[in-house]
Amino acid sequence: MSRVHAVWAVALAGLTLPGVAEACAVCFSATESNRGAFIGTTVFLTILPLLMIGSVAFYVYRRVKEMEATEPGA
Amino acid sequence: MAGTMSEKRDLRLIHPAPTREQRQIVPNEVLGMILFIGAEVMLFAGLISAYAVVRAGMPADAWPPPGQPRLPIAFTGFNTLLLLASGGAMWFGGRKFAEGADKAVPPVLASLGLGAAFVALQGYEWANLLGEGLSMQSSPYGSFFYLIVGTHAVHAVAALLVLSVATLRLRAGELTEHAFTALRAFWYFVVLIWPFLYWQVYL
Repeated sequence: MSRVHAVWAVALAGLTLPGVAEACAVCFSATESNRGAFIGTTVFLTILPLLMIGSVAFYVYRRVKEMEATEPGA
Repeated sequence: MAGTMSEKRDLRLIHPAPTREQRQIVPNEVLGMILFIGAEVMLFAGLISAYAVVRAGMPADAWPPPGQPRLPIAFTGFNTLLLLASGGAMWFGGRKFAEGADKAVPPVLASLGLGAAFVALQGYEWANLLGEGLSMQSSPYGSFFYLIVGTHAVHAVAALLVLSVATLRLRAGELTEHAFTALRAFWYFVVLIWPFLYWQVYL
């Protein structure tokens, strides 16, 4: 087998057998529910800080509006 | 030049510099507590995420693992109601504070009592589970249970200690409204995160 053939063989194996490779050290169970949990928790941990920051920003906005409304001469 | 100085002086008279109280959009105590609670929410989110991933990786018949005791759902459900009632009492205390600091003391004491009962019953539950063989080392099920519920218990105990001191200051009329608001916010966090943990860990 020439070198070119060997490279093609490895590339083809990489394309057709991706399920064999487990790049993630903690992905010890590649079941559907496990994959779903990974995706779900990734979405959860991504959205949660944004929600909290958004809530604080909204709270500050409301406080500013309240202060403006209660200022003398407003 | 002299005219410019005079104009500046006049502007200061028309628009006096705001006082420190006026500039505080969110009181320091409350802002600090909001940031702290945000960090704590992320701590619990991380714990629950790790738990969810490990649980999802287990076969359906292996969670809870065979031979390990089952968690007391009904007993802890009752305990959850006690904690929610404690949060309700604290909310009532916050409302009463507007009428006078001394008016807020009874509901805050009731809240402390209910919170202490929650912690005591959790301790009783832990003692039973340890007796039945569920420990940190017995299985990932036990590890996650004690880690997540234990982290919450540490928060509850710390909050109760701080609130006890705050109640003494409240009785003495030394607790400021902002400090009381910040402390109440922490207790609400301890109360409101628990049903979520109960749902994830027990149900």
